[in-house]
Order: sequence, then structure tokens, then C-alpha cells
Amino acid sequence: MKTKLIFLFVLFSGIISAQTDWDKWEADNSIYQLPEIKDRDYSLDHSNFGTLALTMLRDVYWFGFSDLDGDNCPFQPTCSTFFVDAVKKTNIVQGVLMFADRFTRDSNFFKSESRYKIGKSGKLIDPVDNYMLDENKITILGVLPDETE
Amino acid sequence: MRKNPNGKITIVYLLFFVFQIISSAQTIKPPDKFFTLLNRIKFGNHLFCTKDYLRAVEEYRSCLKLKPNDTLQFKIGLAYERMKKFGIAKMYFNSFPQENIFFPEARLEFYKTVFLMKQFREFRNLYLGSTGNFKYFPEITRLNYLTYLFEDLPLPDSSNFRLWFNVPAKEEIMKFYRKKVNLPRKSLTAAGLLSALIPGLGKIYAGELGDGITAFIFNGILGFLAYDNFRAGHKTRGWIFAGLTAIFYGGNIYGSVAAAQIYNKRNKVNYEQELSKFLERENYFTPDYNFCK
Repeated sequence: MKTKLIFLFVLFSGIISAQTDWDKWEADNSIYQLPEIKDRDYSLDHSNFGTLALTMLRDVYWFGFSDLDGDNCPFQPTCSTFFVDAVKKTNIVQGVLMFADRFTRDSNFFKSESRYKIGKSGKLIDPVDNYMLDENKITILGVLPDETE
Repeated sequence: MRKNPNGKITIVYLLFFVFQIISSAQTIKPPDKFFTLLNRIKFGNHLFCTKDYLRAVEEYRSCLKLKPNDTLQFKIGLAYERMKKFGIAKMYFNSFPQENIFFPEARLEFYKTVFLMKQFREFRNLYLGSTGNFKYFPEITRLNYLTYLFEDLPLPDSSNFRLWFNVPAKEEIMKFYRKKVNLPRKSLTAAGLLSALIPGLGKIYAGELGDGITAFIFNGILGFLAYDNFRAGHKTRGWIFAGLTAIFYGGNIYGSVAAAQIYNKRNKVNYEQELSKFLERENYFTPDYNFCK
């Protein structure tokens, strides 16, 4: 009798504390689709013919390629936005050179983390102002602007 | 209808309780003794010492309306300075009345706020106008020397520089002096020329090895494609690739110059951050008033 009781106790304690299969191995509802790109500003810049053409070109690229391909650019701002901003802030020649340089850096697989700050979106912060050849406009990682009112 | 004989008694009881509650209720207006000048100063001091500077200023200002107080006036300026409201602090200290017992300290803090605002040229001009009779002349002289460590100007002679600092901090400051002299810099021209010579070399020179190699491969492939298409008689494709090669070749030179500039700026900013931290720790070699013993 005593042996039977011990046997039953051991048996049931094992069953009670046993891990169920379904808890651990339940299928995960993962979605592997690239996140949808939001907050695209498709508006055209009518300030002059050049910026109008450029923003049109950018919109065509976004609509025809970038939106279909997914959010792949590792930088913030993205290369297309960088190009438009660079031209707007400088001129077409300097803007094209800045874009060519950015495109080369984008193609580099080993981007140094010490050089780029990682933003909230997980992208590398690389502002246009850093490449305008004006030392006063360069923003360095983790350094806040001077607090002078 | 029957009259309740206890009705009157109930009403009396009710009135008694109501009036009792009203009479013993706490009035909204606190006793006047809470807002005595001394209490307000004490409360202001408490706020100041717990670094609640904004409310401390408010409290001190209320006190000053009741009675002038030199210490409170000075502490208001200090509170602004500690809140990093340097512009207001600067104006405040600059307008300090001469008859105030804290006038020399306010003058020193005025210089300090100019320094903290990184208006170094203005600081040096102000320093030139100061006299040796000023109580805190050594302090402002030290700050004047320190301005050179933040700017791209020729540094004063090291023997003069070290003269004004006391022993514990002297060596540390001289380290910053030497570091400033030997701050690593990359020439923008050299970076551009190197990249013009071999694409990507300027980037490697500026410390961007990966970008340099990528630029070299990029230009190499595009150049080869242009050459190969021309050789094969595909002129249109040849011109397209030649154009792209030219753009990326130019971009590589431009990018190398920008990379060298970023390198220099990064070193400068890191140095200034390190120096600022040290100076903050040393309270910019100015007296610590210790109002919160």
C-alpha cells in the first residue's frame, strides 16, 4: 500500500509539473514582410524649375522603386532625400558630388559605428550639413549644440 | 397630520453638527506667519540648495520686493547661471549695482558667463579693459588664458600660461596645452590631392578605410566599364559610364575633403568636451561660494 501511494504520488507530481508541448512550441506569427514606408512627403517643390524637376524625379524613384523595394537605406536622411536637400542647400554641381560621395559611403558594407550616430529608427544619422564643407555646420556624435540661450 | 415631538430636537442637533463642522473647518487662507520674509528666504534657500533654481528665483524675487537683500540678488544670478541661462545671467550680473556687497563676485560671474557662452573674443576684449586692482584679477586672467585652448589661435607662451595655475591643476592644464598644440589634424588639400591621385586614398588618409576601399572599387569598376564599352565600339554606353566615372571620381575627391574636415572637427570637439568637463570639475578656477553648507 505504502509503495503504491509513493508510486502514485511520484507519477502524479510528474504529470502535474510537466511542461506541455503546446506552450513551448506554439507556432509564432512572424511577419517577414518589410515594414511599410510611412510619412513620405510626395509634395513638389515649386521654388524653381530645377527643384521642381528634382522633386519630380525623386517622387518617381520613390513610387516606382523605393516603395516597392522596402525601407532599405541604412542612412537617415535616405539617399534620395539627401540628394534633394544637398542640391537645395548648395547647387546642382556640389549636390551631385555630395550625392556621389554619399552613394559610395552607402555601398560600403563596413560602416564605422564610431562615425555615425544611430537614430531612434535604428538608422545611421548622416546629415547634409556635415558635407557642405563648412566646419561650423558639422554635427559630431553625442555633442549637443551650445547652450547659449 | 401628527407632529413629531422630536422634530425640533433633531433640527437643533443638525444645526449644531453643521456649525461645529464649519467652525472647526480649516480655512483656505493659511496663517500669516507662513509667509514671513524669513520663511520665504528659508524656503528659497531650500529650493536653491535642492537645485530647484527656477522656483528659488521666483521665491527670492518675492523676497526682494519686500526688502532689498544683496545675497539674494547675487543668488538669483547664480541660479540663472546654474540653469545654463547664460544670456539672462550675463545681463543680470552686468547690471549689478556697485554698492552691492557682492559686486566683485558678480563681476567675476559676469566674466564667467561670457566664457561659458563661448564668446571668447568678447571675453578677451573685456579682459583687456580690466585692471589689476580687481579682486578677482587672477581668476579672470586664468579664464583669459583658457579661452585660447578653445580657439584656433596661436597659444600664449607655455611659461606664462602655467604661471597662473596652482600646483594640483597646473600639470593637468599643461597636458591640455600640449594636447592642443599636438591635436591631430588632417590637411584638406592633402586629402583631396590623394584622392585625385588614387581614388579613395584621401578617405584612407582621413581615417575612413572602408569608404576609401569602396571608392577605389567603385571608380575602378566604372572606369573599366567605360573603357571596355568604348573599346567594344559601344559609344553610348561608353559615354554613360564615362559620365558616371567622372561624377563618382569628383564625388570621391569632394568626399575625401569632407571626411578630413569631419576628422578635424571630431578631434576638436572631443578635446573641447574633455577640457570642458575638467574645467567644470574645477569650477573654472573660480571660488565656490558654498551657500548650501
